[in-house]
Amino acid sequence: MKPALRRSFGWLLGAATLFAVAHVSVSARARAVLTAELPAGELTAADARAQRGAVLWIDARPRAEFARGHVAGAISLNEDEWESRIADVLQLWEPGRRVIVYCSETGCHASHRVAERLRRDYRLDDVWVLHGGWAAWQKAEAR
Amino acid sequence: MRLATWTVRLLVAGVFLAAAFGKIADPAAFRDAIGTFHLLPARAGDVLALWLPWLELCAALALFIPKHRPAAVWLLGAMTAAFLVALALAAARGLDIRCGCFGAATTVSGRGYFEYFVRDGLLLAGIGFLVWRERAEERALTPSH
Repeated sequence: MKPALRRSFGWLLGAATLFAVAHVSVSARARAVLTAELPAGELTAADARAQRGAVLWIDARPRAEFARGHVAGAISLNEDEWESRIADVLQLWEPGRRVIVYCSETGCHASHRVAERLRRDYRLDDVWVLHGGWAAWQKAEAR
Repeated sequence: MRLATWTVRLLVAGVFLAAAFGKIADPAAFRDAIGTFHLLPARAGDVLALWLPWLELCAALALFIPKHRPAAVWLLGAMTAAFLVALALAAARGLDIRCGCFGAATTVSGRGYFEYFVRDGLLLAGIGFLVWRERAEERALTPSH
């Protein structure tokens, strides 16, 4: 890469970084992006535990992982077994009942996909994803 | 050719400026839109939501500064190509995403992806044209031996 082009990249990336830092320092809305604890549609294990009983728990992990351990009362519904399992899940749901979906940990996305499908295809509107998944739940239970 | 180059330059700059202002005005909405792609850890999405719009703005403005123009077109091309890859991955996984392109939270799913592939494909073609013009102008300015 030519030195002039490299310098230009440096200028542009540096300017963008400076502007972003300035934006965060002067704008409460921008700061809120960094200080907000959770992405939209997720709740913490602590919040979820406080609601136990009234919640329909859905485990979006593969069946083998579900068999090794799951949230008490959770029902298994993963994408591979969707067609054979969805009817059972819907039978357990009733209007007003909150649904919380989880997978293994923060980096897994199965819970988001299952939650999205429940909202989109079955019009369930009170569907949440457990932030940090099964790992976060186990940590919260150990405390 | 000069007129065509300036027209494409103005169009590309206009698209990126509009995109940047929309995101800068509502970074939380853009952060949520990034989250719908399920590609990045949440914290990385937060930082990207705050930084990327400013990079779009700087690169779009730099299209009018001859000294920085080559870097600007490459950066804009890289951003557009990266978005197309993210779009393709989301489409392949059947996700409902929010583009977050201009700050508006329009949900994209199913056949809706097609419009975005066409739109961003055209944008990438325009940027490709600018890269080609930059190289041609550079060659014209380089003294031959």
